[in-house]
Amino acid sequence: MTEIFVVSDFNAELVTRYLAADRSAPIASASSAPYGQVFQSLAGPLPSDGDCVSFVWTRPEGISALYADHLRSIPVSTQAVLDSVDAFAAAVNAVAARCRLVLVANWVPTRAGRGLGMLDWRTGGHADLLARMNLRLSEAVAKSRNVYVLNGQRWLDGARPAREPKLWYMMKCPFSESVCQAAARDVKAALRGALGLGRKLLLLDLDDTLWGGIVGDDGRQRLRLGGHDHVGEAYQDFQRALKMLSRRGIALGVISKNDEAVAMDAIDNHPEMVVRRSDLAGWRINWNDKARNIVDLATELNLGLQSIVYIDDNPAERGRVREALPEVLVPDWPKDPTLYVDALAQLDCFDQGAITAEDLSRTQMYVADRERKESAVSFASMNEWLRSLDVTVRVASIGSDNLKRAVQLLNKTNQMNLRTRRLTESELLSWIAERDRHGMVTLTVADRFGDLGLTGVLGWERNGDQLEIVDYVLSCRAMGRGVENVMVGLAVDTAREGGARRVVARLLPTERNNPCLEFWRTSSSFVESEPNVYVWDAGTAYPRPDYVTVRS
Amino acid sequence: MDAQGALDVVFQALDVVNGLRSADDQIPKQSDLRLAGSQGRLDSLSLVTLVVAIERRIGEVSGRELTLLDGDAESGLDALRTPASIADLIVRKLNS
Repeated sequence: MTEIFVVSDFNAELVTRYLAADRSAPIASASSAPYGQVFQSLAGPLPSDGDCVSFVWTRPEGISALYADHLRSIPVSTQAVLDSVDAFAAAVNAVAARCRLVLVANWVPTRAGRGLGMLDWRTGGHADLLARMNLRLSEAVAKSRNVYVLNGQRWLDGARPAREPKLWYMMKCPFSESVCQAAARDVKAALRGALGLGRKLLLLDLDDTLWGGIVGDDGRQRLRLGGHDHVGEAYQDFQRALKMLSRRGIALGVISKNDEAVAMDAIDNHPEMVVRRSDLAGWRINWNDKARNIVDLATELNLGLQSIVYIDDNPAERGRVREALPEVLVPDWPKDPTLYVDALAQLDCFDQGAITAEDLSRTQMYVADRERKESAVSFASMNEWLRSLDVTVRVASIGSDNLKRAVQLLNKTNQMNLRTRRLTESELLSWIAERDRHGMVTLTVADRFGDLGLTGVLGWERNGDQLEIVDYVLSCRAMGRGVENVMVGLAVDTAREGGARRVVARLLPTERNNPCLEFWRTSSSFVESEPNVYVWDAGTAYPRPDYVTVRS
Repeated sequence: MDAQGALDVVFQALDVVNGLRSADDQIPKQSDLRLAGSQGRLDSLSLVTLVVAIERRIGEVSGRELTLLDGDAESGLDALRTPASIADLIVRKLNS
């Protein structure tokens, strides 16, 4: 189990307890370092080796004595203050080498106040210096791939009260328990994001959710959307916020009880719509049970239910989906549409450790996939259809360009995953640094409908005269096009080039990787030498599908 | 504010303390439950959190500023023994 180690110059035990009490995934234990010993704690032993997440939350005056002097109007050199920030950042970067993840809260003023009033943002003002310190910190820790700075100001913004002087005087915690709770939630959200557990698909109801009114009753023309109407503007702003999310890589879909033709007509033709058909990864618009429709659409998009968020204005429908599909996140939703944008912005389930090119084009990929499936209907045989796809696979060695996406794929892929090995960026970097033993390539797949992106990872280990496949990971969206066999062929080619005599794949069964098991059993052509162990004699070349073009 | 109203405030503040505890370790809302002192369910951090939450809630519902602990720690702890004793303290303070 992951252990979250809370390091602070003040008594942050409240955060530690909120973290320990939080049963949301991933479940983590939490412990506090002795408060006031930040540098000692960062340099000292960690509660658990390797799987430790450090959360470092400090007051600026607790880290920099010079900043404390500055608050007391004692003249200090800005450069000297920034040097003290560098020293702190160096300690953070050092502990990052021993942790899975380090989360650092940016600095906020410990006490509410006017600072220097109208001079606060002039050189020498408190706000000015604190901003410089935060920027310096952010830049200095960015060199560590597994360090993220969390925006602590948000925890204060949403809390009433944010600061509780009595807590400071009685137990040396300057912030209210609401702030500490918000911090704990943000830490868990960041942990989920770093582990690739962020939600990827946002499904929406239509009537009184995406627009105001009932399209089947009121007609497209009378919907409240945009225009000179504060409610209509609120719905349109909500759609803009949704579109912004989709640009970040969160796919959108629709689940609605409606007549599909009527609803799609509004989506396509209402002049004030922002979210259009081309923005939707998919939809189920009919009179069936919404929970059933969600499962159906998730299957079509090859996504697990734990990747889905469902928004509906109707509490009964929300209750139904929550009850039937507990893995789907169904947030409470305000009745007032002017609160929709803020409600969406408060959701902490979309955090990602990195946003890759594949994330940014996720919706286009789903749209292309929809067209691809529609085209399959017109072919008499699967083989004919596969040939018509013009599948190309670009193979690249692992490097700085593809590292983030490879890590994301390793951590998110469940179905076509041989051993479900989960790694952070730094862990993967350490692994591939052993170049004489370990190797890894990524596969970027495209066909005539579009680019499917970096969707495959193949990692191997050389052991004597044997090459063992360690990572065999293929995104669901690239499955069923012969890429599976191309990946195996790459492993066999690598073994042959290196003089290995056999290639081995040991499958670790999980609840989710049955498709992988089926492939190795029925389609890999390898011999199952013992249960879940598949072997190929490297003296023989591996037959690759001739309808896939492979480029390096 | 009468004794029942004060007890309700204590129980609402216990919700805040329970937020710090796992689902299987929640403090039940019983007026005679031992909270502080020997065999009390709350440690010092939870007690401080409870006191601050009660004072804040009193401010919200009555508009009055209340300081529960302004004496020595020993006598203060005795007044925090159970939800009922805290409710008595609230009523006494508000009426003084």
